[in-house]
Amino acid sequence: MYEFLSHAELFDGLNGDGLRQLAVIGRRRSLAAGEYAFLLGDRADDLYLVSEGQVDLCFPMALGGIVKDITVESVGPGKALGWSALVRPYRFTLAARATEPSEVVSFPRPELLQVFDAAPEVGYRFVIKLAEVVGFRLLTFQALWVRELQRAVLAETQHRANRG
Amino acid sequence: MKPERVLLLGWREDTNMEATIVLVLVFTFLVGGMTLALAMGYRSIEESRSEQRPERHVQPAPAAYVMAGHGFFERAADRTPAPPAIAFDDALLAQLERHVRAEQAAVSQFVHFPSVDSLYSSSGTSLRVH
Repeated sequence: MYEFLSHAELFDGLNGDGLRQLAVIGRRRSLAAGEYAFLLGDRADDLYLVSEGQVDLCFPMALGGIVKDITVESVGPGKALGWSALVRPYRFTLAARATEPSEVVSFPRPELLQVFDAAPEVGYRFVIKLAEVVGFRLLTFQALWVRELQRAVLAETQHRANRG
Repeated sequence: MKPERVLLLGWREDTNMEATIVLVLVFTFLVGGMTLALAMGYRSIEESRSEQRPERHVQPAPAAYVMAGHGFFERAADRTPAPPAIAFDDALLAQLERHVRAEQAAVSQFVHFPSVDSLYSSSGTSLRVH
């Protein structure tokens, strides 16, 4: 566990003591291929790190009365899942589904916060990394939205030109 | 002489104490009764109001209908709550996932080095259904 955590993106830069405290509270969980770690809207009480395999982050797309999961990001070993567990309103905003037999390590929020309370420097470094992960996600979706909006504007302009 | 005064004063204090207790009990009973009467009155008013109020039925909106909200460029003629004409088959799903992945790859440069050029770099895919 200690060795794995030392290479995890969220715990990058933590010293041995901090990692040891986090290793104590981490719980391994196996996921079968196709199994969901969590669904959009579920209570987010645990932060996850993928330790083996691959987990897809998906959003539900509804068309013609059918809802399908669309993969927006594939997360591999060392990467974090479910940072909503540390941000209000503590609800997952995407679903996480294993694409192959996988293993994740979960960190319950209360225990994680206890570690941060006891060792503020661990919490500080963790929050810096967490802000980076959240910021990347925000930028990605911002860019995706702007690009789709630009396409909509171009399509409308073309439509009006064809009509006129 | 002195012990008698003490006894007399003691008797008076006991009587005063008893009277105070009786007064407090009477006051508590009165206040409690008034509060109960107010609560019962409020409840009966609310019940009569709810009987007069027309019932409101809320229909849960299906997800597909919610997502078919009005777009910025949508024309008035398009504003009908008809279900989408396209079927959500595996081919469309695969196309959608390919598009999202290609777009993700295209914006990854923007995420690390934000600029107008990296924001609008081509991904070579389109979601247009012909």
